[in-house]
Amino acid sequence: MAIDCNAALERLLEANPGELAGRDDSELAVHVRECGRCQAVAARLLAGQEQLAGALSELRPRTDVGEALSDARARRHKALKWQRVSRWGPVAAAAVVAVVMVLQSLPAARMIESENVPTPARLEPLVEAAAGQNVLVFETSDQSAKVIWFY
Amino acid sequence: MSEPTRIDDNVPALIRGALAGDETAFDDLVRRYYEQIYRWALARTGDRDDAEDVTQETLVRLHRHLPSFDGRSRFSTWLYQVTRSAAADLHRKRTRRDRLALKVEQESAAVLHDPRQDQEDADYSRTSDLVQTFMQKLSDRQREIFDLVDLQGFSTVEVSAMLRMEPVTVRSHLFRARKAIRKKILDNYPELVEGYGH
Repeated sequence: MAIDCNAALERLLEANPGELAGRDDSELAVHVRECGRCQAVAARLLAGQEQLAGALSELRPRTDVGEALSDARARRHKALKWQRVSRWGPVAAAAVVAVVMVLQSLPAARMIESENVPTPARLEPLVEAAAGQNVLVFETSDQSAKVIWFY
Repeated sequence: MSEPTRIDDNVPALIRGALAGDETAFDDLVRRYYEQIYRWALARTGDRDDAEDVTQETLVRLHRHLPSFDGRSRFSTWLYQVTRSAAADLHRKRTRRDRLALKVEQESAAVLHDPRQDQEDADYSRTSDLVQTFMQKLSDRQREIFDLVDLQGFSTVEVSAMLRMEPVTVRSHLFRARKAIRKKILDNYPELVEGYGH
């Protein structure tokens, strides 16, 4: 035996499973094959790792795969819905502004003079924030006033 | 130990189907890898609740990112990256360690616990000790690598590809993990190491 048992024990702690089983040609594997005491230690280490592997394989997900798939599908649909909202949101906001302007132009909907709220002068927003930020800025007939639309 | 190569069999057909919008193919793909994803997530997080969340997030990402799978690596290698990324994002959000000490002890014991054999089987408490060492004493990386190589049978070369890590670094983590686990194993059998000089 080229190595003694103390050296073998140190190496057993880091060795590959093949060496623990004495199946290798390494110095350690040869020692394990020839030394009953180290063979017993190596066998125990292998058995311990097998026990650990078995125990971990019992720790299965508590959520059934069918349920997990349904949840994942629901989350995907929700994400898609928000994508659509952020894509069409500015258009919808512009449409709302247009409707408000039309309503204000009707005699019955005119505001009383004292309120004097400036109306947007053009429909295209001056500033359009990045998708998802949901802010539009419009010019009004009054140069000193802008309409900032949070939606 | 599992045989990691077999799980990838027939996967290309399922991927093609899923990409073509076939929900059944996507579901079959998920069913095939569901427990594996959870196991990866568990080894990565060391926490059962976190592993559930990571698994769920991985399913969502799998659907989103599947078109980017180019087939150059094994599907399981690619999927492992998706799982890992989901775990890393979750890790940023949580201070898991705070909850871990209490939870793993209670939960892994609850799962492994079988009252019928509790008193008779000393292996039960030894195994429970080992699971706790695995979950709590190893670093995330050590746990992940030890699980992949020694418990699931991936080669160190495969793992270095999966983790995008140098093989020498993988081995270094593996050796440290083995040492911690095996010392724990031998702690439970002091008679085996009697007579060895330290």
